[in-house]
Amino acid sequence: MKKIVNSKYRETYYEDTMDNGLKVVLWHKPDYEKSLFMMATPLGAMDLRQRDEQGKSYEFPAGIAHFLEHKMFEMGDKDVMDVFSQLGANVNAFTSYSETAYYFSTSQDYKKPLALLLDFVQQLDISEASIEKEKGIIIQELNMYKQMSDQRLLMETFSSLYAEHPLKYDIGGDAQSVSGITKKQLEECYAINYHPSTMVLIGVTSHDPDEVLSVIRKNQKKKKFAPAPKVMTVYVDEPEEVARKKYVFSMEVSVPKICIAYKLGGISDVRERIRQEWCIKIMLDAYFSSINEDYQSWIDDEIINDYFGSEVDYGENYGSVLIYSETEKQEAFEELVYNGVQSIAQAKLSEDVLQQLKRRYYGQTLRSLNSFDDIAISFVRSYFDGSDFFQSMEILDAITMSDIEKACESLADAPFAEVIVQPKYQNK
Amino acid sequence: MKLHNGIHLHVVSTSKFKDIEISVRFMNRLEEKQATLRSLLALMICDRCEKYPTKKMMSKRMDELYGAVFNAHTVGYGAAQVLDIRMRIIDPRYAPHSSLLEHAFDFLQETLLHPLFTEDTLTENKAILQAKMERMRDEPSQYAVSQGLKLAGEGLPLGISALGEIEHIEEITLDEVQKAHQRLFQEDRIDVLVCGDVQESYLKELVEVRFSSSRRDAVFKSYYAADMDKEAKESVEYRHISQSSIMMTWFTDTSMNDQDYFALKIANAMFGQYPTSFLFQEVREKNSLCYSIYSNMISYDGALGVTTGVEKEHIQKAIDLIKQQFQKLCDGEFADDLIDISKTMVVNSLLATKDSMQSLLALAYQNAILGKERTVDDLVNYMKEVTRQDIQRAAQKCRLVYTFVLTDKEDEHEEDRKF
Repeated sequence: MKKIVNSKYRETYYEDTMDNGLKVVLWHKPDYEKSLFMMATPLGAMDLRQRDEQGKSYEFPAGIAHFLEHKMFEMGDKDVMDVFSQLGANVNAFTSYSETAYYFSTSQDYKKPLALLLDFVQQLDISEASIEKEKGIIIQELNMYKQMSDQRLLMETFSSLYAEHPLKYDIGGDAQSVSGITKKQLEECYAINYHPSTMVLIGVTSHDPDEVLSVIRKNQKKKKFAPAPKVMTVYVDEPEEVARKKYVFSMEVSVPKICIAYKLGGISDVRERIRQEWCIKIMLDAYFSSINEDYQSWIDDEIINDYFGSEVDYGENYGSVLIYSETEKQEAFEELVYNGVQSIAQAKLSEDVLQQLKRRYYGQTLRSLNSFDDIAISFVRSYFDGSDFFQSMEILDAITMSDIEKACESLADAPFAEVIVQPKYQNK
Repeated sequence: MKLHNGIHLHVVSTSKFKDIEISVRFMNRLEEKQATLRSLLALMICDRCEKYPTKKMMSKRMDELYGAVFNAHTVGYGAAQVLDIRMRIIDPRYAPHSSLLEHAFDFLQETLLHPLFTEDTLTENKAILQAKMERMRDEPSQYAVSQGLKLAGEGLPLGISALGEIEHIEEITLDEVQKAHQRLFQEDRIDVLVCGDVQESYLKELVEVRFSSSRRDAVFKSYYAADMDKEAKESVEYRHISQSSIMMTWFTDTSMNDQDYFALKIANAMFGQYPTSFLFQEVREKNSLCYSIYSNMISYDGALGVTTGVEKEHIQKAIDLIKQQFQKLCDGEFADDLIDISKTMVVNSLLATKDSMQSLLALAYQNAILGKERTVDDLVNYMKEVTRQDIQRAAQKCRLVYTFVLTDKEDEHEEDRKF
């Protein structure tokens, strides 16, 4: 077991790998009553086309990772959620574009729920009948998100950016793709993506790491797994241009919402990707926020309101910058964004503001270490990315003005898409 | 602890968190027009102040304090509205050579005592408050909950939104805002709550030097149990939506300080708080009618609400199932296992209170309002003592008062449809 101490943030964690390849991380949080354990696989909504070592190809319907997440909670005649509740633990799970995670928290005995977490994630036990029943629940879940205007705006934005990339689908797929999912597909998808050697288990707890590790080891020793499959996700080449330049749809909203999204290329090197993301985030926060002198006049002129925001996100094979607001003045907003992005591309920034923002991000990161969920999710993501938890902050600390200039160049002529939600009816 | 200046100070001293949270709470009666006014005031206090008269200066100052978090909102506590102003700073051990705690209180003093009140800031914040309310109203499930409570609580504090109402925003004048601001220090009960690695004696000094108040303590009781002689009512509203929302409200006849309060907490847990509950098991798992379904206690108003989203054709079936599940509680048709599991889950979330700054502050404030000094362990014990008979009795005291449905517009001709 390897011990890792970060003196700046005063945090300690331990790492080990089981004989079957399962990576285990135990984040030590003395003085806390609560424990949280999260088990995750790098199977996300983007992993729709996969290929194994023998060259066999797999094609899954959109939403399969999320469907699998729902069905994992079934263990023969037992409902996993019930059993966790009996043990005094809250269990939950989520699927993102790049991973699926199962986790529980408890302030009481952690040993039994921990064994249960390992057991239910390491076994798929489903019937045709239960799959059919689950479809109804999932379609209600999709409907729920579909009528949230923020979620719809985001989904339509990704559909506008991408012609081929699976980001164009909602994480849960749609009613049609969900209805078509079969037992065989779920079993195949599980078999190639839930092997211990591809997964990670992280515990955030005050309990003695040796003791926790022995609970995990004992559980894993009992189980046999097929040889580790080597699977990779295959992506169809994504054109540089956006799929839809402008898309307008209507919902029952009081004020139109608008999102302008820039399409950028992916970055395969993880350090480079993190640096690039920080550099653009710094410029977005410096320009499209109250740090900018002009911000007040944008509000006064009703070009933006408190909904206004911006985001940057990079992956190995995609990248995007989103700027959004509620506004009736769409042309003025387009101009504001266009001018802003051109200014960002030139990376006009004072050293003072750079230091101001670094200080802000330090405080935010430090604060996130109070949250067990944040620690577990951030760790899982950086682990699957091939990075480590504190590397991102080290990269940020080292960023200079010239890094930012280099990073922002790509924005100057990036293709962009615009998506607008219009009110369905004039209210009042 | 009550300070010389009349302010109540509550300190939760612990070194396990990375930061320090400060919450300043102003309590007064919940009244519709005042609620809107105070909601607007909360926004204006957070926007700008005389010392930092631009947004740029405000964010610069907060970044100098390592990305301090500063926000304000209004919350209903039964018959009271609380204007809660919060500030979070990192613990000074992570920022050597700084006097972060003093700076945080200086910042609170400037923003609380000297907000920037001009016609411009008024106009701007009115627009923002309106946008916030419209956004909530636009979201069908959120709207169903607030509208359901408004209808169920007609004539009671439960029917008044602590956020205020859109129609009152426009008429608010700068003079009214200034007067509402003065009243905070003249009339409201003021509590300052702090959680983190801090000393009570030192905080006492920080608060006493910076704030003074001529206010008397709230002479009213914020918690209540709503009157029961109401006929169960139903209503439907229509919108173009793909999923229908249901909000059902019960009056519990059990207030926060009643004996039965803890039994009601367990009854609610069994009814619809956890995946093991009747609602989740019957409506979602057995009948696949919904994805999410919950029951929640609105404790300070003696109410309980159930909310879910279903297909239009399943509305009646869902409502019937929900009613049946409640009847099971009243008839004592539940296994001892369910009681045990629900108690374990409630205890689990109570124990988790100790690990969250917000929950620790919430408990301290609840004790202050109820005039109790209960620890987490006391509450755990009360929960454990609840019996089957207690649960059944608490459930039998409840009565369904309102069923509100928000559904798809297509069938407008069916407006007379009965639920």
